Amino acid sequence: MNYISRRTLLQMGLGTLGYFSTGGRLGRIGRLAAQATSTAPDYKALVCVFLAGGNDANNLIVPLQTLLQTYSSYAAVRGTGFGVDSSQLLPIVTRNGDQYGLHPQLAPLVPLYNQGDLAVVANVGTLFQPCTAAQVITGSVLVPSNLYSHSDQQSQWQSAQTRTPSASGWGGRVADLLQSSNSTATVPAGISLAGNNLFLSGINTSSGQMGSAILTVDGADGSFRDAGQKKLLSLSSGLSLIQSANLTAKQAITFNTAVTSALSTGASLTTVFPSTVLGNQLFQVAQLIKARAALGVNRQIFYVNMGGFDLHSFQTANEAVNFPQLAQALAAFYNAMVELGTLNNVVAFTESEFGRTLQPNTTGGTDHAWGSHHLVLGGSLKAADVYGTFPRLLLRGPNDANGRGAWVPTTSLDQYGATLASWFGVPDASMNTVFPNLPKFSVRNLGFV
Amino acid sequence: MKFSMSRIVAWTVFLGLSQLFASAPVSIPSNLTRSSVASSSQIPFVVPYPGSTQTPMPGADAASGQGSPDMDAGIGDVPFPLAPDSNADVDLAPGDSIGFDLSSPGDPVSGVDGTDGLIPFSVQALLLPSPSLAGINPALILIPINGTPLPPPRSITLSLSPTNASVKTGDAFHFIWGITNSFNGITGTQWSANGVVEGDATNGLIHYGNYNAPTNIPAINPVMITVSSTVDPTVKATAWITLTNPILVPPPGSITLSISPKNVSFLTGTAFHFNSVLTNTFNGITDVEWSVNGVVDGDETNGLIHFGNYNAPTDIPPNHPIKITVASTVDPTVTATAWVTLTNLPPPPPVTMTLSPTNSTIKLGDSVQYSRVLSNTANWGLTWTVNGIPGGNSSVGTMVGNLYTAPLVMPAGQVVTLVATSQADPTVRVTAKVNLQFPIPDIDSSNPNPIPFGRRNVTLTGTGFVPQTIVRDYLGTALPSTWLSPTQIVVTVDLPPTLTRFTSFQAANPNPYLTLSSWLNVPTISDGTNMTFLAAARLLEQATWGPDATNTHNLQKVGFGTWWNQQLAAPPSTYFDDTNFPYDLTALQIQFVSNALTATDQLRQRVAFALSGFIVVSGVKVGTGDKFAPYINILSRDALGSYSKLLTDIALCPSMAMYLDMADNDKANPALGSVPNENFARELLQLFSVGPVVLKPNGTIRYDSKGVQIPLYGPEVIPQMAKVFTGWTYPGIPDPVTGHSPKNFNGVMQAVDQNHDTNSKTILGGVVLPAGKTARQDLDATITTLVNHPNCAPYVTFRLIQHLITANPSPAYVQRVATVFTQTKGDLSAVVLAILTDTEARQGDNPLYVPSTNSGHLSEPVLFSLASLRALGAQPPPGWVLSRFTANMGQKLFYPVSVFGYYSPYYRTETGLISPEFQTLSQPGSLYRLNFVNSLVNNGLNGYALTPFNNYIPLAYDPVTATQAIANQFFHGQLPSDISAVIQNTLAVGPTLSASIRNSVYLALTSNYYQILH
Repeated sequence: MNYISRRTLLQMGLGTLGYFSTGGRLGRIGRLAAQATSTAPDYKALVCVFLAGGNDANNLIVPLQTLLQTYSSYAAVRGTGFGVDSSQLLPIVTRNGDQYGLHPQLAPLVPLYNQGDLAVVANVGTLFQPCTAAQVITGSVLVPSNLYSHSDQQSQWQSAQTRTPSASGWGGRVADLLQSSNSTATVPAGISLAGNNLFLSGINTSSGQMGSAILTVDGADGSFRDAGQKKLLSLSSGLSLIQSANLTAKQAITFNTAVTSALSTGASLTTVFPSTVLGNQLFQVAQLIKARAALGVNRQIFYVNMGGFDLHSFQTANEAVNFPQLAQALAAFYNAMVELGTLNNVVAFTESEFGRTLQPNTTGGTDHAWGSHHLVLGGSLKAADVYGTFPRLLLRGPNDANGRGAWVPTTSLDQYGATLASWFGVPDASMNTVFPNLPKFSVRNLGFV
Repeated sequence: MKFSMSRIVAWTVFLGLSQLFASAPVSIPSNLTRSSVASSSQIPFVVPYPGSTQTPMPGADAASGQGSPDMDAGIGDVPFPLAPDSNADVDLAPGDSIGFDLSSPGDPVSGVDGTDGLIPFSVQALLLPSPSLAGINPALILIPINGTPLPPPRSITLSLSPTNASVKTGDAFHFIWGITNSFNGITGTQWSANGVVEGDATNGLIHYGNYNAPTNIPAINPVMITVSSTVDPTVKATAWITLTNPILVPPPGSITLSISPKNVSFLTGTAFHFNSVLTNTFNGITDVEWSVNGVVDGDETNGLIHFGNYNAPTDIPPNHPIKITVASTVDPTVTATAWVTLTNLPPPPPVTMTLSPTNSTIKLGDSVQYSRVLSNTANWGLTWTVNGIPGGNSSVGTMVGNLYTAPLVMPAGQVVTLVATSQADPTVRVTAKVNLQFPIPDIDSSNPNPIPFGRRNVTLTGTGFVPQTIVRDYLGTALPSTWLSPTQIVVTVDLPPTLTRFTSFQAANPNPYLTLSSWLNVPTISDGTNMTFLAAARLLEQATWGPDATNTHNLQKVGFGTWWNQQLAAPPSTYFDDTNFPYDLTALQIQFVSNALTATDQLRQRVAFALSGFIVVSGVKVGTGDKFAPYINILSRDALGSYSKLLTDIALCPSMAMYLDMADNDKANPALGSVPNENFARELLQLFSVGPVVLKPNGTIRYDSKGVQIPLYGPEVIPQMAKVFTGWTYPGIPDPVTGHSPKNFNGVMQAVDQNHDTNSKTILGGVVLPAGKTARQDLDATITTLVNHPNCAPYVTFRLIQHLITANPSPAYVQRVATVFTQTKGDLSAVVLAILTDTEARQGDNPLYVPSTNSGHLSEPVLFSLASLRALGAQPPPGWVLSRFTANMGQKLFYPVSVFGYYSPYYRTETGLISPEFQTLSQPGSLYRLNFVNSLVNNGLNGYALTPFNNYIPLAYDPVTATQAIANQFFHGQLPSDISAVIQNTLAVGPTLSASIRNSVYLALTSNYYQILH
């Protein structure tokens, strides 16, 4: 408790410092004052929002006026009938005064940034080791296997293992390390709202899964049929796959029972979530956070997933669908955390298997690329900012891995994840077991949270 | 003795003779002998008066006396001096003389005895040598027979009164008497008692009418008192004195007597004992005499009493209450009395009988045990008639004891009447009615067994068959039948193939309602001998949407070869847009389910679906039927053809062109800074043909010396390949400027070479496509390159095996099939044939084969749900949308999340074992599988599907058999004992048979032993 308390105070102090350095944001001060007494003790949650298909972060955040470049570098590649017009971009300012524009469909996120509760981490990607575009192009450095492949890069983002297959995800490994914090838990620390995923697969711990609603096992009457089923699930078949399926079913029944029980009490959230795939999932996350006491958990890691980002064609139209869903769902979740008084206890962050080529293709879309920008949301952020190093939006430029604007990541997934895991409570001494590649990078904590 | 003798000399006069000889002197001879007596008549004689010296003369004193002689005078004073001959008995006749020899004093003289009917008398003469008698000559004394004439009659009268009197012993009694004598005036009388003159101590003394009774009652009593005239002894009078003992009166209070109880009341006819207590200080005699109503010892009327034991009469006597008296015999005045009030015994109650049951209903041949209760009699014996026949007979049934056994043949009327008659009271009878019914039939066995599918006669053996017996199958359908005997009946069945491989028979007899036999469950079999059930079911599990009854039977009949040819020849299922569902793929999903459940091209469909797992178009992007149908039609059409043709058709399929953006993918536009879209090119390589890494011929990934996967192509290949697939637009008339046609999915993509990048391209494996080729030429060359690439065969083979057979095929298996792929240049029919016939696929056909730990694969939601429906024979109606269920299970049909399909071929379980379909098995998905099965078995998929369980109802009576049926239906007849036990236990419980069955089928279908195909 002392550790947490001290840390909470420290965060508040740093946050306050940030306001002065970035020009007063009174809204945040007022909210923090209101929350100071309602911050949940020793509770933290990470929420991984996976944008499946490879989000084109080049359109998520566009440099308008930075020390490095201006909107023109973006427009030079995407400007002709494809990119987002600068006038439509929603401007945000970094702590050092750089000006960026968020995609116009992300308007709900702008206030969060301005309140210091949203940050961008630029050009994050899978890396086996630090490398430059030149090294990649010349093949003089080991890069993650099967770059540009959806499945491989999804696995790497979720596992933080880039050249060898992994049976565990980094979220699951974090959960492994923090089991002791959840000694009273009735559910696993990791809960997926989007089915099976590698992210939450621990080495020692399994995750719970639920859909967009609490599930009832139809026809279960607690009598002989259920007893028979329980018996069947306990039998040793001699076939590994049968045992695995039995395990899943048993976990499902156990988890469903616990969650149903926990969610059956207490008032409903008043925050309204959009009825979208992501909105539904984040609503359930908020519900589970709300029920944290009933679930007996102190550390939770959630996995939600939104698809539809593999926009090889008609990207503009599809982003006009995807980004509002993303922004509205995140904003609703933010509001729910405020409602629950857990804003400081929860950090949501995006992952996506890769970014997309800056250079468009002939069908109005973009193709698979590499490094990408990501969003981090939460009351514990040090400050609203664009963290990391923004790539030069230049084909065949210093960050371009293939001439089409596939950015060689300047921040590794390991650093990104380790920063989140550190906030979550993973001691640095254990961090390499979660992120085996982390030692290859000099900066172990990006400091955004 | 001598004295006594002397004193009782009897004076006896026989009137007749004395009259004749009264005065005649009698001379008694000294040596008189019997022989000297001529006459037998006796003669009276007169003994001389003692003391007289004269010859005693009868009547001498009488004549001189005034009255009776004083008998006392001579008696005792002078002993009789006579000395007659001793020891002489003489019979004297008148005129005879008898002499006494008195020369021997002391010798007794016997008198004349009284023979010849006369009263005997005796004369005893004592010869006493007394000096007082010395003066008397002891010589002969002549006793003259008095010849004096007898007095005339009535000249002498004699009166005596009373003639009867009772005198107590010891008392005196005085007679009144008188005598007159006009003959000679002599009034002497002689008195005697009991013939003893003057009486004696024994008989009392009599003297001139004064009788002194003896102290004891003599032997002769009454005592005869006789008085006679001494003149004429024939004149005499007689009186009788009855001697009685004097009554001794005990002193008052010396005898006490009590009786108890004094008053008592009891029933007639019963016995009762009275106690009496008598004390007697008088003489100690305690004898008592009992009497009833005054009758000593009682009688029939009043009851008998003896020693106080009273037996009451059976009727109340007139004198009532009854007086019981006990009296002392010593002093009868001492009595005690008790009173008995008799109550009539209630009349014996009538015998009654109850009999149970009085109305019963039994089957022919069955028995009824009657119980009876008889009251008021100990005799409970009954006699019986059955329909009036004593004891019954074989036609109406028989009675043995109280057990009725019905006949075996139905009697007319179907009722018999039993009459039970009490042996104790034949008027008591009870009638019982027995309603007879046909026996409950039972079927024990079937011939043949098992019964082959199809039409045939089956002989059922059992009991209780009657000509009216109906045999029904599990649907309740009455089967044509021929009754042979009570134990045999022949039915004609027409068995459709079933997967449960059981049929059931039930016999029903009429009257008054159906009586049913237990179900006989009989195994059924295919008459096909080309394949075992296990092998057929397994093959269909691998090569179709799951075994169903018809196809399994067919496969067993025709064998693999014919089946294979049938499958190749079956017309491909087709899919078509349906304007009723313009917004999504519902129409195609419906068609898909219909095809899967009913179309004959099962193998083709299954392979097509397998291909759709890695050659992906998703409804997420291509979301309407018109756009999507071409894709699945190609998969259907090409599933068993050339892989090159498949890829070509796919490449030119508008669905795919839309999905992966090949449509209107033009060569680079420098003005726009755009380059060809890489999407289709990348996925064609990575997903549809060769994969991203180098594979060994056995499908395993090849690693470099550092243990790293070897990329099959560098990132530079993708843009090159992207150029290949430029210059294609939708079918139709392209815009002359852009070369683009409006979206159109009818037909194949058409090349617009003005938009094709005709530069030379270096594609996979360094293959160079020369410049200047048309879009089609480049496409064909590229596809040929891909299909011929060494990676393609193991890549495609591995995936097909994973889908059809096992998630983790042995490398050798993959290589064997891949070799076929290579040798046939990608002939999918040959490849699939190799997959299905490989040892690794077929080893499980051996029932003894034990699958290896890592074998099998999860039945993905679409397959799982369809196979469940097929196994059950469930028929969803047209329009049923499977994907609503499978989507929740993790597989929304036609809507894979991405081009990677529903799942990755390298997805691993928590144990690290590859298991692609497990990617769909989330925890909620696992629960949704349960809910799908629940819906299927319990509410017909929300009321849409007809899920038949009729055939299970009879089976459910026998959990062992039902479990075997479940094993047949869902597990190719093979079920591990532990799972079987769970299902069997579940069948044995449950509120209803139906619930038990449904629960058991639920457990079967939800068991992972079913869901993991192996």
